[in-house]
Amino acid sequence: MLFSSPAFLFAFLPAFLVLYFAAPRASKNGLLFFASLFFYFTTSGELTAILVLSVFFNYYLSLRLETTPARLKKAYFCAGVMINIFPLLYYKYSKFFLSAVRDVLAALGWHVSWPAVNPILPIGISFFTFQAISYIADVYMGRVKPARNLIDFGMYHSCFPQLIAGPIVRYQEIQTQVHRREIRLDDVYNGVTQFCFGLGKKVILADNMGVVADKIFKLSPHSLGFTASWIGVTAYTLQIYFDFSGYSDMAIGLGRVLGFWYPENFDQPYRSRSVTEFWRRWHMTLSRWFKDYVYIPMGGNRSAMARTLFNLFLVFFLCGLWHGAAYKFVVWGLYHGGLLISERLAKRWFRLPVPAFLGWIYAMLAVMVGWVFFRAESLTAAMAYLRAMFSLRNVSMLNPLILSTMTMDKVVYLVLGILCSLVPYQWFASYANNRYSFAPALSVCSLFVAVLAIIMMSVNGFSPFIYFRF
Amino acid sequence: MTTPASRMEKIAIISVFFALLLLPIIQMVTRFPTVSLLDENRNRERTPRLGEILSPVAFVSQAQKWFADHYGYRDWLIRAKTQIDYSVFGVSDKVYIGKEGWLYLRNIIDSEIPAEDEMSDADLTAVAKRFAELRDVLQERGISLVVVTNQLKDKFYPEFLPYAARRIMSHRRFDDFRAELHAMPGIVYIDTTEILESLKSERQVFHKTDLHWNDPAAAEVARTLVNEIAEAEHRNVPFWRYPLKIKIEKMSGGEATFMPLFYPPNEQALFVAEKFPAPPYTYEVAKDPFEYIARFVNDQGLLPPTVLCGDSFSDGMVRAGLLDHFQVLYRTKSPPQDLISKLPVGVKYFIYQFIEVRLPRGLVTELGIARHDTTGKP
Repeated sequence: MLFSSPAFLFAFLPAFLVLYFAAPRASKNGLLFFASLFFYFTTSGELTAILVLSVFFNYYLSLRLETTPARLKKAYFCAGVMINIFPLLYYKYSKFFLSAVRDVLAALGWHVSWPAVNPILPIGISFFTFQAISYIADVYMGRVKPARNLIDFGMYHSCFPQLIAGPIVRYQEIQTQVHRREIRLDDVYNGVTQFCFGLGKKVILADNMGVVADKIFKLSPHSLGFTASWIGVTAYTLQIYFDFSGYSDMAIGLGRVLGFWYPENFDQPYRSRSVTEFWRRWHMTLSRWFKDYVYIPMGGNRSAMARTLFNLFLVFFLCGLWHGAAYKFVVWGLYHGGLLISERLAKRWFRLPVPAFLGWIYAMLAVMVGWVFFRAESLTAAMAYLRAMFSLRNVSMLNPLILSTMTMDKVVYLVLGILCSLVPYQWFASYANNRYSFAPALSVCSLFVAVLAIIMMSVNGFSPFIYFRF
Repeated sequence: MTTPASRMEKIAIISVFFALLLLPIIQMVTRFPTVSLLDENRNRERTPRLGEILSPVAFVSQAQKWFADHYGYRDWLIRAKTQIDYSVFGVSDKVYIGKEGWLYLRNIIDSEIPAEDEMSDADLTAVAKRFAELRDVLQERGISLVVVTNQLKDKFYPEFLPYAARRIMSHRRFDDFRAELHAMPGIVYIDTTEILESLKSERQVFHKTDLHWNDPAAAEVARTLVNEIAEAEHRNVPFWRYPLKIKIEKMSGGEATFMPLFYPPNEQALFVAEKFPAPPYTYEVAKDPFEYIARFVNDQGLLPPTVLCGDSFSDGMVRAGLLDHFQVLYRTKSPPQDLISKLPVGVKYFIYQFIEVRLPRGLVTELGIARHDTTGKP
């Protein structure tokens, strides 16, 4: 059940909110926990058992970590991390790893085969696994006291607003709200507004840009030309941003309605003037997770330069792999890692001041090229697409392919998407203490956006048969 | 710097938001206000059965599908979306909006015709071979094959397509296939493209807002068809008995309602004016494998029993009076695999009508001709 589905918006959400606001304070966590499990069950079915097991396991492990003697703590912690990662490795990566091993062996001349492994991926497993690891790591490091109540912890670990697509919330960030949170008019108001804007980002901008990107990325290499490929990658650049940040806005907004203050996940990343800055603004909770639980424990940038660069490289290798189990994601991660390393070296060696606009152009180009790897069906397809982008074939805008794809509505949404990703939000809303505060006019605007999104969402299920008459 | 919202403003915003979430459920329960249903030409998802709750995953999945098809205001919202696309942006996801009110199904222009044009010579020969086999199988039973082919309106009116949709080649693979049919001995071939090309200089032959040809155009083809069969039967020609009178009526065709809008575009469309005094006949509906059988009480002088196997384009010919010229007309739109083996005794003509975009799908395989294939290919 996606946030942008009728079942969620018009059945689950209103029913849950009515119960939640009516429930006594002591029951709210229990209600939220079970509603979250139901929410997950509607999409993942029997695989909900993995989430439930994760709740039990991490709850008891955290209590155990607190009381375990220091000499055994590390062993418990490492075992805990491994056990948390195991379902992720099996469900998400087993097929890819096995095929990668087969590819390596084939490259060495050994052609082997084994039974196909293709498990169904439990939705959001990457998010709740990372959240669980952050929890036990923080307990292990003594940064946070473990939850004393299974329901409280279960609610934190499975909370439906951020369960399947983040943001990745650390326990210490919402620890006090888990135990005691106020429902304040101001939070509900700002949460509702943020949710509405998030819904609009997803349904109005991302889904429309998705139509354009899908159509162009589906073209055979010989049909692709310069203009079409750039329109396609621009559309995908906007689609992925508004899809993900829209979902994050809905999650954060809903969280705020319920009394939680989740961290922001995006800070207009396409305004960045370097790829390094991009990663400070894009999927911020994931970047922070890798920084705090991988990069810094490995020595971060306190070690020698070579070691620091290796750490960066490894973090981005893992970051790529986190996004998907395929070579193209690994290449995408390494590409970004390579860019970050280059920027760091360039800064150290040349110390040249780069004009802001040139920096922005460079960052956008670099990021868009990266999205080609992310979106293309395969590495081969990505390379063919990149060749089209940098060739001067079919430059004219007035070819039927582009005109049939970029209809007037798509042009309007594309321009709107570019504006929304580049015009500073601070012009319209104040942002302090990790929270947005919206002016009344903007909230009215958000309701209009929500109505438009609901209208647009309705056609997703509208698929009449064309050939009924034949 | 933003101005903070007052308490009342906040409450108002929150209330409107909750109303937005609740209104569909309220409409769903109360059925108020009434929302006119869209015709989607499909069965909407059924309500999950209580018994299915023993399999909760399937139950919840079905419940979500059911809800997505039935939530309050759904059909109104769909119309609102398509109306915005049409009225504000002049586009539709499903239909190309051409010049002067002409509409064209996107799927046909973007997918079906290009698929047809990608057919190789070998593909075309294979399909033509199927027709030859169909002819032979029918001839073994004393039945003559009559083939009627229809091309769609972008073939006849490409000038009204929006520029973005003009990828259609003037010469199509289907034209090659027509040439194969013309050269095929032992069949009666009614090439509607030729008839309509010459007719369109006199009057419009397709509806602007519908996929189909108009009834007067269908009547011309029906007249040719009847006369050709009559000639094969050594009857006096022209055998077609009805003069053509045309009337103009306002209509919104299938492509217009397919968009779908609150106010679908309409046109002044051509229809056959006269309702002919139908000769007395018995009319049997749903007689397997036929949709209906029209059998004339007094069949003296009419053409011999004939099967009409064709899509909705054939309906135009029927409306124009086609069936009044046959002793018995067996009508089927969706022929079963074993239709040939089920043909009644006494049938003398088998009219096989189809539109061009069905060509890539192999066509006559659906009639069970594969059983007679001597090459061993399925």
